[in-house]
Amino acid sequence: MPLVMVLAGADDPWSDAAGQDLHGYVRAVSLDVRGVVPSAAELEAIEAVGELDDTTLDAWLATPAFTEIVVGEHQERFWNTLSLTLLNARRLSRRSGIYYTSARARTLRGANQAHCGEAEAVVDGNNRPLSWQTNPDGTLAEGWVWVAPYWDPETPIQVCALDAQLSAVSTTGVDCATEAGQTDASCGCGPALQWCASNDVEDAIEAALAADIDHRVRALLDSGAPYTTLFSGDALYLNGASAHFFRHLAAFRTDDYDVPVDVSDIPALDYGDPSFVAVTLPEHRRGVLTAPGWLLRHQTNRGRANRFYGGFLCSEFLPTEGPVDPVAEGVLPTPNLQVRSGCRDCHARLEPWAAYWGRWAQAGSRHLAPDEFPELSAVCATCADSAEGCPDVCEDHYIVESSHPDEDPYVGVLRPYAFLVGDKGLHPDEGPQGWTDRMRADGTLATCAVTKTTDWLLDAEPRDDDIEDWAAAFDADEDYRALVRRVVRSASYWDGAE
Amino acid sequence: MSGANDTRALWLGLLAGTVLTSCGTGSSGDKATEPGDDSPIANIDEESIPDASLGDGVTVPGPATPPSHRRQRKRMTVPQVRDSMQVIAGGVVWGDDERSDWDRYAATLGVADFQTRTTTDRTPSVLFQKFLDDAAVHTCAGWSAATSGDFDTLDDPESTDLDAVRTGVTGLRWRIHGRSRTTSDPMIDDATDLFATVYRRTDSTDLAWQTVCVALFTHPDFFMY
Repeated sequence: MPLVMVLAGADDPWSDAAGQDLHGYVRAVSLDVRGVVPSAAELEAIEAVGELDDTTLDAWLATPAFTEIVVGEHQERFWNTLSLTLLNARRLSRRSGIYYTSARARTLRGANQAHCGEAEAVVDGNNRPLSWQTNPDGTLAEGWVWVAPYWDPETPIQVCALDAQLSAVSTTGVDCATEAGQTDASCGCGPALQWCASNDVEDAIEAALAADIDHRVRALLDSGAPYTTLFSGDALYLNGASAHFFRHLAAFRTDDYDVPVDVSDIPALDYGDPSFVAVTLPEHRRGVLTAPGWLLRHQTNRGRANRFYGGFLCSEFLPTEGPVDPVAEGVLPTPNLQVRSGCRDCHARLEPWAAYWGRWAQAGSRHLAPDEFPELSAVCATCADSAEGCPDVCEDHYIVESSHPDEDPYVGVLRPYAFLVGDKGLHPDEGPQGWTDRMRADGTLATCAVTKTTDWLLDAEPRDDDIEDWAAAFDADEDYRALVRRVVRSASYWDGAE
Repeated sequence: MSGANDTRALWLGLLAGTVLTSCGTGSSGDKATEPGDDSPIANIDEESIPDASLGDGVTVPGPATPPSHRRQRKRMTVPQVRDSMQVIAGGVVWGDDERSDWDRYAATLGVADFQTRTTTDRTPSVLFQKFLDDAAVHTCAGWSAATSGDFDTLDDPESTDLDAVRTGVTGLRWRIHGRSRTTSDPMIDDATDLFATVYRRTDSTDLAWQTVCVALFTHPDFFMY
């Protein structure tokens, strides 16, 4: 038989790894579940026993290294890395080594980007300038002061005096810790600049919000809780950076952010404290699919549904082949994407699924509570015809005018509820937990968890009966560690298996 | 000084890469041959060979059909290579004290950042092998120089006795590839030949052992599992 035929067979030694000897098996298991080859001492011990015994395997599966491997595997499902502009209005930039908030320069000095100059300021006890220069273009240059910032109190920095103002309340009575303080020239960044952030601070906050998801996976492994706890768990993990964000900064963009727990429950961590502390979330915020890190990573409701569909249900949206029905001349296509030709192949399912996130801000992490955002608003239903026009909340969140006959029934309706038929109209109120509950009940969640795990460990498509057996077992015990154990002990992983 | 080190690294990498990457487990251990004027290869009249006698040849196969349900060999991830080399070499880090070069080059090597790249490249690409070669040269030099390491498994690392060298090569393969300590393994012959070649040219058992070490780290039996 030609050698090439042998190599291309099902047990092709170029790619088949299940036929390796004990040494190869032990090395593969160690790399897969710990990320590293066995040490010399471990190898000798296994050689002495003549097998990878259950005690050793279980010890490997109990290591922090295994937990970190599983965290990494789940990063490939969540994609939880953030690279955003969290708080442009409160961001401190630097010019000539002197920090200032360029986004507030017009409010503070009279022109965009206007800087305070390079002279040391003369200020009162609240860092309010007592004198300043007026530039030829009419802008102010008040000079700078030294400030010990909260992110590095040991290293004072030069900050423009108007940005360094300390007052809690402005001269006109505005609370400087709120969005209203943004446009008040007598509000600054507050004590130790707590209401502002440098680029590095923003990076640290984003990393912390993303790491919350990692900690939820870690907690799942450490506690041995059922796998679906990931989608219903009540813990949010905060460190110094994310605690600072929710305590001091989120209030400056209330359209996008809110505080997920009562402010008094935010742990008292210094900004630089890297340790993560769990806080208990209210019912409607439970589960990883409403974690700030998830909502900010996947900024649209469709994007959120799409990632969950791919990452946890192992499916993807693919339009059917063939031409899109032509739109008749002069006819406006329906805004209901669930029925529009060329859109419906994906959107018939995507729209109702995206609606599970209908009560969460897009491009933000704020919860849109029913008492503040009712499903139907009488004001928003009629505002378009009023002399005053529509308030921002209607323009931003509601259908205020019909653009098509199909939209007529939905004027005044909160947008995520539009075009949802039957039980699907409940999706926004159920939240993503409604979807995960359904997918858990029909076994899809378990089957996909098994598929993702075998993709990782086998890099091959297991037999259907293996998938079914593992999915049934995982559905019953929801023990992710046990699932990994089953796969690495299977004949598909190593044909010398038990 | 730096130039001398560069030359030495190039020597280690080239020799190790040339000699051992052509052989694998179960291979007959054929050596790479440079066709010269007097080489039989140079004198072949290809037109004179009937097609039928060429046979199917030994080529890398296409995808297996039907798809295998069994575990497929995977290339180590960047963290797996980084950590495994450190565990094997007694903590020698490729890079500086603050950061491994594996982490520094992670993006270049196709490690997902879940922003611009959502899947990790696991192919044994030329780029991966180039960095692996750099890492192996650095690691093997550091490992062999460490006084507390276990690089030398021989009583006398300076020995050029054939049996002692084979024992040393077997020990290194066991440590780096995790294979059983079988001196009849064909790869032991190749690695022993490599040791001898380098020793003859450099008169240094140190360099010879480092070259064997580099060859083993850059062999697929290390980075594919």
